[in-house]
Parts: sequence; structure tokens; C-alpha cells
Amino acid sequence: MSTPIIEVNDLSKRYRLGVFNARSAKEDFESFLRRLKLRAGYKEPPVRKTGDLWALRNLNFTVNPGEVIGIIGGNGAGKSTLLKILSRITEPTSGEAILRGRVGSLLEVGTGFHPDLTGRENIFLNATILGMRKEATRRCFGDIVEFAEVEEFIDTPVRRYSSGMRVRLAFAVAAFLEPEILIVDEVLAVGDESFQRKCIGKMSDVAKHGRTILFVSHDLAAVQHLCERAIGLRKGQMFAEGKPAHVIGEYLAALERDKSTLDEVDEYSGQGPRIVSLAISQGPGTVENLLMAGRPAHFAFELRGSVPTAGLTLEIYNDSGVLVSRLSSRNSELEVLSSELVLTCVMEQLLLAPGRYRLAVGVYVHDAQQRYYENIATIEVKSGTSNNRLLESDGAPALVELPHAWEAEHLCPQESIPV
Amino acid sequence: MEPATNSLYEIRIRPDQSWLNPDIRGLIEYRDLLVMLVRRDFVLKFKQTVLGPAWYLLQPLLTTVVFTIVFNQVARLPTDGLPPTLFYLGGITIWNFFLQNLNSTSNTLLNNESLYGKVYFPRLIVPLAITCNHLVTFAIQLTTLIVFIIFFKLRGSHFDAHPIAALLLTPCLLAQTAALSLALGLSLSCFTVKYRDLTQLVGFLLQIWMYATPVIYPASRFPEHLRWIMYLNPVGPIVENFRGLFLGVSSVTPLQTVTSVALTSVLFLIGLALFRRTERTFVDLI
Repeated sequence: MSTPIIEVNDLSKRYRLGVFNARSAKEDFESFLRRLKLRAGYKEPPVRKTGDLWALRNLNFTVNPGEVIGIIGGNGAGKSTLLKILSRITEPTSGEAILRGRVGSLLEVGTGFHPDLTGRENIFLNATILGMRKEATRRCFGDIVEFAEVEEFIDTPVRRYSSGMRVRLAFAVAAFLEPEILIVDEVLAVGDESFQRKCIGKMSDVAKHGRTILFVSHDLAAVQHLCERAIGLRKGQMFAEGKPAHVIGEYLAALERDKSTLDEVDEYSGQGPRIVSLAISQGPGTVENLLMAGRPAHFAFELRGSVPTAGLTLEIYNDSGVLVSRLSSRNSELEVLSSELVLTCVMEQLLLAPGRYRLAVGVYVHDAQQRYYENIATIEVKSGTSNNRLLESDGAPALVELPHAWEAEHLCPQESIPV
Repeated sequence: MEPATNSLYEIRIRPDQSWLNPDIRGLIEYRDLLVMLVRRDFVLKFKQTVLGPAWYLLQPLLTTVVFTIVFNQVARLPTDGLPPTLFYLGGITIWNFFLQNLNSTSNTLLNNESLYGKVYFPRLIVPLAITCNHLVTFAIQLTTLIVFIIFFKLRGSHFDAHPIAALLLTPCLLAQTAALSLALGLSLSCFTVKYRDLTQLVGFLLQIWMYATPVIYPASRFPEHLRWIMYLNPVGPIVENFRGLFLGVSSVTPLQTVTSVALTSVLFLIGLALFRRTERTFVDLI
């Protein structure tokens, strides 16, 4: 067996929250102002808590040359931290990582791009920043421009480019990097469908040429397609390793078992009623955060410290940040009779189009907002079944799935239609 | 085509690496990037401003005019017997280099978050690129100074220029100034990344510092009880020596020069160590 090209031994990374913000007169004054604003009902960004956060804990794994490894995990699992350490952007707190090849990191597209420089100048700049030698860049220059499809504009300043062109150019440069180890972090989430396919194609090309790739993504389908092995991370530790299908299966199963722990979510230290848990369900056998469009859905919020005039507002955002719906309990004739209760939002039909959504909740007392949970849960909506047939979504982004049926009215006598 | 895994190439990533190591090998490996950054800043300067290149010449000249009027004519500060224009221009040329280099590098970590947080390269490359940039500016302004010296000489002014000594020793003086401004800039950048309002404090302090340096007055004007300033302020001997090389008059003692160099060396080591230590984890702070 050849020597591993990456070895991670007992790698740990701790972040100290809040400690570096020295308490000063300025800070105290600011929190005083914040309290005043609260009373007036303003929404405020979360206040950092102090304490330690272990982003990675005793991580161990090896990667052999030429392998394509996918790294999956939820938010806060430690994926980005791992990539940052392997890219030498930050240092581990303990443990070590050994790299036996040059690393090219794609943690963001267009690092170092300057709007006043031309496409040509930016290609050289970006390539050099990413570690390419000037000779190599010159050699690949034509290929890069062709891949990005920007031949005509190569000598105009990048500030005139459309955002799509910028992304294509940035990815094109990165695609022709020639490191032995390529680390890619979710950058394939940019650009349109056809370009994404091109990028994935290029990545599998690169993989076929024997480069080692570390690929982090939320797109489980892409991981399944590209990777021969996967590592699952949760809360900084590895919970599964092996074939992608197996790791993905474990990951989804774990989602079902977990309830979102709201202590972590509640970054906003306000006053008033608190939400201590959220249960999302579509009947027995729901995989918690994977929902079906068109079926009934319940969102049950457990409250503590509630008062008679308390209310909740559930906001649903799609992954472009568009507010799809805002549902307020204050519009219904609810009577809050005790301080501990479960408020459930009952939908007869979940009318969301397939996709990923973020749920945010505001807690109100007497129409004044007391708390705001910006990201209380994320859900993934899949096409529902209708009459037991699986509905296919044709990929066009839509916001809602309106209840409907198709009818046909024939305008001329029935006849056999040539096929 | 299989890329060969170079079995000799191995990087161990672990905590507690040495501070003082300036990673020369890394800097050499990334020399292309250094050149590219220097070039980029120049190209941008030309593209983004109308005056751009002319500003290199205008700024010291305008300042000299103002100084001459205010400090020489109105306040009647002497200039060691030298023509005031040359006196001020000389001081400004070297002081500018120190000032601007310090100012620019003191925000390195803060200003380049987007770069440092996304890709690895030896962090020192950016401040080095800034310094190279300022060296080129200095070269341009030095040429202006020389032109003026020649002009004045031709008009018959009396002062001793030491062209050979100037040629040999200016690089040393320049190296010392670069080291000093870089040292202070690197140290400050470690703090400005945490406490952003320090940047304003730095600007303010630099203004005061100019008054403690013999730029608008000659060192010979220091009264006996204030001579110690020339020992404590490493830029003082630098400026005096610079004027001494090009204009023939300086009242700096060898001891003061030696102190200045020693102080520069110590500050440089401190600055380097501090920067190397901070660069490894400052990304966690942003």
C-alpha cells in the first residue's frame, strides 16, 4: 500500500468565543443601548456567548493518492474548519495533519479578483495567488479562457462582467490548477445548471488523472456521483466513513434521530418566552427535516415562560433568501393559558416547491418582538406523491406548489391521432 | 498523466511552530506572487486615479513649498545653512518612505482578510510587496531630489554633497528604514486586527512623531536637555544621516547612529516574531 498522501492524526481545533472581545466601557454602553432597542422592538444581531467551541475533536483519517473523498455533515460539523486547517489558513489546537503533496484550495471563487483589472490580468493574479507558477498559467491561459467562455471580454475590466462571467472565470482558473491535492469547498453551488455540470465534469476529469480530491458539499447527489469514499462529520467528530451511499444513509438516519437543540440556536439573549424545542412532523415515519410537498405538516414549538399575550411568527425563507411565507399565531384566536405549552402550526398541505428552506421564528409579547431565532431549523422539501405516483420536479426554481388538477376538454370529435 | 507524489515533499501541520523563523524558503517559492502584487498595485494606481503617477512628484514638492513658507519664512526655523528647499525636500523624501510604509503595513492583516482567509501563501508576502512599492516611490522621489541638488549646485549654492558616499550608504540607510517601518507596521497590524480603532490612533501618533524627528528643523537645534530624543527616536539619526549624505550637513553622532541601528534590529525581531505568531491563527478572529 502506498504512503497516504494525507494523514490526519488526532486533529483538534478549539475556538474561544467572546474571550477576545475585551470588555470595555464602550461595550457596556453598547449593551445598554441594545437593551433600550429591545424594548422598542428592534431586531438585533446575536450577541456572542463566551466559552469554548471545539470545531474538531480528535479527528483521524487517511487519504491515499488518487482518491476522491467526500466530506459531509450538517452546519457546524467542522467541515470548513477541517479544510481551513488542511489549507494552512489556520492552525490546529492539537494533533497534526501530514500532507505529502502540494495543495490547491478552492474555498471561494475569485479570491483576489480586482474589479479594475482586466480578465487577463485577473487570471494571472488569481492563478498566482492560488499557487500556480507563471509558466503554468501562460501555458493554460488559452484553455482557461475557453473554459470560461469569455474570449471577447478578456481585455475588459472585470467590473464590466456579469456575475455569471465572473464566476465562470474564477472557476476556470481554479480548474486548471495542477496541485497533487485539490480541496474544494462547496464552490460548485455557484453558477447556473449548465456551468455546474461543466464544473463537475471537469472535477471528475481531474480525478481520472490521478489527483487526490477532498470535496465538501451539501449536495449529496454530487458527493455520491464523484466520490469513491466519504467521511461524515458531526460536531467535529467522524460518525461514519466508507462508501458514499453508506455514509449518506447514516447521515440521513441521524437527522431523524436528532432533535434540533435550541440551546445552540438561541444566540439571541433576549427576554420573554423561550422556545425549547421544535418538532417537525408529517405523520409517523417522518425523517425529521425531509418533508414532502403537498402532504400535511405540523411544526410544534415548545414554549417556556409564556404569557397570555404571547405569539409566534414562523417565517420560511428559500435558499435565495426570499421570504416565502410568514405565518403568525397572533392572527388566530389562540388563548395562552399557561406558561409552558406547545404551539403547533398545522398545515393541511405543505405547499412549498421542492428545495431547501430555512425557518426563522420570532417570539412576540403583545406585538413587540422579544426573541428572534434566525435559523431555528432547515428543512428539505421533496416532491410529494399524488395518487401514489412520484411527481417529478423539472428543475425550474419555483416558490410554491399550488394545489391543482389538469383537465382536458376535447374540441372536435374523438379520432385517432397520428403518433 | 499521473502526477508523481514527491515522497520527499512533506508538510506537517501542527501547533507550536517556531516564531522567529521567517520562512525564507516560502518567500522564495512565492516570489512570483510578490512580483505580481507589486505590479498590480502600480497598475491600479495608474488606472484608478487621474493624477496617479504625477502624485509621486507633486506631493513632496507641494509639502516642501508649504514647509518653506511656514517653517522657514514665517516661523524662522533655520536649516543648517542649507537652501531651505533642499533641506525640507531631503527630510521629506526619507520621512515619506518611513511614514507611508509604516502606515500601509500597519493594516495588513485587517485589510487583507478576504485574501488571507481563503488561500495560503506566506503572509509576509503582502507587507513585503507594500514595502517594495514604497521603495519604488522612494526611488522616484530621490531622483527628484537629485535633480534639485544639481539645479542648486549649478546656481552656485554652497554645500557639500558626497555622491560616492551617498551611492554606497543610501542602500544601507534605506534597508534600515525599511526594516524599521516594516517592524513597526507588522507589530501594529497584529493589534489592529483585533482593535480596529487603533488605526486612527496610529495616524495620529505618526503626525506627532514627525515633530519629534528633525524633518522640519535640523538636529543641531536640539537644546542640550533634549538631545536624548535622538537616542530614543531611531528615525532621527536616519533623517540626519540622509541629509548628511546628500547635502553635506548633519549633526548626528556615531553613537546616536549605532543606537538607532541597534534599536531597529531589536524592533525588527520583535515585529517579525509577533507577526509570525499572529498570522497562524488571526483568521479565527475575523
